[in-house]
Amino acid sequence: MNHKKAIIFLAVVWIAIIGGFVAMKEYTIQTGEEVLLKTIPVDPRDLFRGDYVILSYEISRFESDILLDFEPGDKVYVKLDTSGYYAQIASIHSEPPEGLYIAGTLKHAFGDNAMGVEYGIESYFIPENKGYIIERAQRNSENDVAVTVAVGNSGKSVIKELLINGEEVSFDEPEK
Amino acid sequence: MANKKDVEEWVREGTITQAQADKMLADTKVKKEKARTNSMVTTFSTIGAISLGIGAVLFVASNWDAMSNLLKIFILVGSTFLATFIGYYLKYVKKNLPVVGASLLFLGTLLFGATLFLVTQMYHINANNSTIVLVWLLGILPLIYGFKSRPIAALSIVLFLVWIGLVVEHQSDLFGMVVDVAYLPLLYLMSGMLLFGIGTVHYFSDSLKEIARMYRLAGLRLVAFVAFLFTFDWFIPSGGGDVSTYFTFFFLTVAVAALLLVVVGLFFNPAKSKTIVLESGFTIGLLGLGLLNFFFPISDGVYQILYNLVFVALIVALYYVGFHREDITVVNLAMGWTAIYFFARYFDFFYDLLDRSIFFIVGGLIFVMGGIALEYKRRDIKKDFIHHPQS
Repeated sequence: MNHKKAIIFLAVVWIAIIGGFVAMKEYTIQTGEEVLLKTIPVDPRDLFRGDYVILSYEISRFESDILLDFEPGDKVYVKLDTSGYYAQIASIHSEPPEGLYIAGTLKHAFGDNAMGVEYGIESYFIPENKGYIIERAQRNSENDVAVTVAVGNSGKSVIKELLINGEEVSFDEPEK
Repeated sequence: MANKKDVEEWVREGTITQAQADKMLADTKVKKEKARTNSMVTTFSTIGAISLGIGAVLFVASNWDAMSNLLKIFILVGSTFLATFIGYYLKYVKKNLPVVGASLLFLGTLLFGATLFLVTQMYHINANNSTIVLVWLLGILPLIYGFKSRPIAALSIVLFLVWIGLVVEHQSDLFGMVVDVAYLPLLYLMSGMLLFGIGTVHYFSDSLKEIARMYRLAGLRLVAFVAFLFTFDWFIPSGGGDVSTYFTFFFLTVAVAALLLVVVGLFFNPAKSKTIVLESGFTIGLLGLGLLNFFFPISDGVYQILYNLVFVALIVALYYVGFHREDITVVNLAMGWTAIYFFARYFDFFYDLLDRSIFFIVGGLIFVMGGIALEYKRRDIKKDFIHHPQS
């Protein structure tokens, strides 16, 4: 491969990778159905991407006895009931069910005879040193922290926004 | 480049005339000056590229909310392509600033990684995701093979090792198997051999020899480092629970890939090097020990003895290969590990047995004398290698 061909090939690969990432996520956001999930966040730090909050959802934990046929690492498809304010689990499947469902990977969870599911929407990246805004909201038990998620046809999900009491979280306020 | 002493000797012997000698020495002076300038330019532009790349990653990590995501992605994608194409232009089209061009190409690979992190941050893709690092690694491969860039090959090695760590960390979390993490050094031992094997098969192509050597040396350094850790009992995996199925599968995949590459290297290496049988035999033996340790972990000190023997054998093998191939880097590696190993065992075995003052006096004398001997030996080897540079 000469250098000219190599640089053209490289440009095509990079555009495909970056464009592919954006296109896949945008497709889910634009075409997916919007659901509201209740969450309990805590905030650590990613080496390359900075501060984020770990999101643990109500739909992330199950009693292990309803998952007898599953092993950690298995794909699970969780059918969602969106009749209430927050989306809830309607049923759990090993194959994609009819209707609106979200896909995840079964994860071992410590204690309480529980199992967990990882949906790939467990991190919410926030501006540096602004985690206190979410922490402060959490300290007040009357506050509702939730996430709007776009769920695509294949069960893939993308976070759209983090909400505190129904309002999109704003990081503009000065630190106190 | 001609050595002044040699040239004077050749003039005395009558092999060359004084005029030829003057010309040789003048040419050597110019070449040395050029090499020095080149090395300074390389140092400055590489440090510059690394600083800019780190700056870009930190910029992404700060998640500065005064700028919209769209603007950030526009700036980062633009910088990535701009750095890469200017680098390409300077090095291969205009050819007037090849060193700076190479550094800009390297910067392009760092900015490509920063762009990936920005995109995945924008869409809140889970933190510490190993796939992003793998995609970054795959994305820079065309530059390694298209432009034979050594700094980018070095980056690929770092990304490969980070990717392995992140895979294990995530899977350990997913399966609730903290034991997996205890087996990570053993996985890195296998990965070192895989890197060595990858380097060996790259030798099949003449144009990839420099890259091949980088991979092999990186593999060798990793193997030596982990093998050294395993000479201490507390780093050796010794059971304590089952590892996850995923880890077992991942571990075996790395081990089998390393084995296949070693076998391919042994039978199809066009260089037909005399040391290849020793290298391959040693690698296969160490792969076998690693697998034995993985499937039959015990904590009665047997593996510690075996790893100590393996480490000593590795040092001896490095000396043999280094001398045989007249490769000063390998000899230096062997010498460095000899000193570290000697120091470590010295404290292990004798610290509690001897009176401390005698211990330090005798030990200090041994080290000083050892240092003198090593210095002399190293100088001899270096002198020898200057006349016969390794291939």
